[in-house]
Amino acid sequence: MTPFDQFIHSLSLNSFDSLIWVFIKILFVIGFALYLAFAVIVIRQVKIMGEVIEGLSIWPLRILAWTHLLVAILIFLLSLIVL
Amino acid sequence: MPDIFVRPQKENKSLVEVSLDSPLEKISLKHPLKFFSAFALNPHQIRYETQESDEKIVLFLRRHFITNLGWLIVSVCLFLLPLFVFSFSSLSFIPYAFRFMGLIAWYLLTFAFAFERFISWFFSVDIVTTQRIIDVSFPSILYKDISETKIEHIQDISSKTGGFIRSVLNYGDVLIQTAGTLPELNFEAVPFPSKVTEIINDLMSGKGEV
Repeated sequence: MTPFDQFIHSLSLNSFDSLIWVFIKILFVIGFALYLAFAVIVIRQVKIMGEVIEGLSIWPLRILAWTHLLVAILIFLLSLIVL
Repeated sequence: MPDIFVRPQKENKSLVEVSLDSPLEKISLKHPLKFFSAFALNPHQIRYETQESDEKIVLFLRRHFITNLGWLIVSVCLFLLPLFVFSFSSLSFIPYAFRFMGLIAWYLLTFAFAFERFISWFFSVDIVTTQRIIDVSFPSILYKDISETKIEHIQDISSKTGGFIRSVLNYGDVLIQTAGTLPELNFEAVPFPSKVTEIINDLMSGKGEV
């Protein structure tokens, strides 16, 4: 099969369909990576916000923010495996 | 020469002491500073980051908790939406893995929305100290806006309560006009706006001086 034949073959419907899903997979992975960055920012912001008023009990928010980051990491890894 | 009569020294009453026998003390006892508190009088356990050693926090305010109702309803709707979508429409043309990860992404974004709204409410506080009035605002997770003015710079103070829910739950806005570079401070939707005005007026007239 010549390179030209291979190119024509790649334009067939099935291949095009799978290309779309590959594209969506990349979008998903980029989205989850951005979400991971957001989860890190949340932890930092909770820390900064907590420093403005000392003495406020913010430990539930800190636990929630760290759990959120952990879940975001796991989901990012899951997206790499599942998709 | 021994003194025949020594006039007892008049105690310099601070607002903290004055409030012990006042109705405000009842409010402070009824509303101690807890995790979800929107009104706390004389919260001794907290401290502002630039608080002076001779400065005391008299009032700690947040927007009334009921103001969170809007985003709470939106969050519940966003949470329930996939259940309706999956029960009323067939999404079988989407591979199972993508449906699964899409659902997870949806709930992550829903959680992010709710969490961001909550911490924005939680950390946006108004503080009245014996020397200053501070408005700490976090409009979103990436923005921090702190405005403050000294008590002696306050020119006028007014409270505004309007609408059914605000009247029933007794919360409203407190507008503070100042002579400083900052023209106005606004405590939005705080509980007991008339009490807040009363306390700030006391501080302005010197009753609250420690």
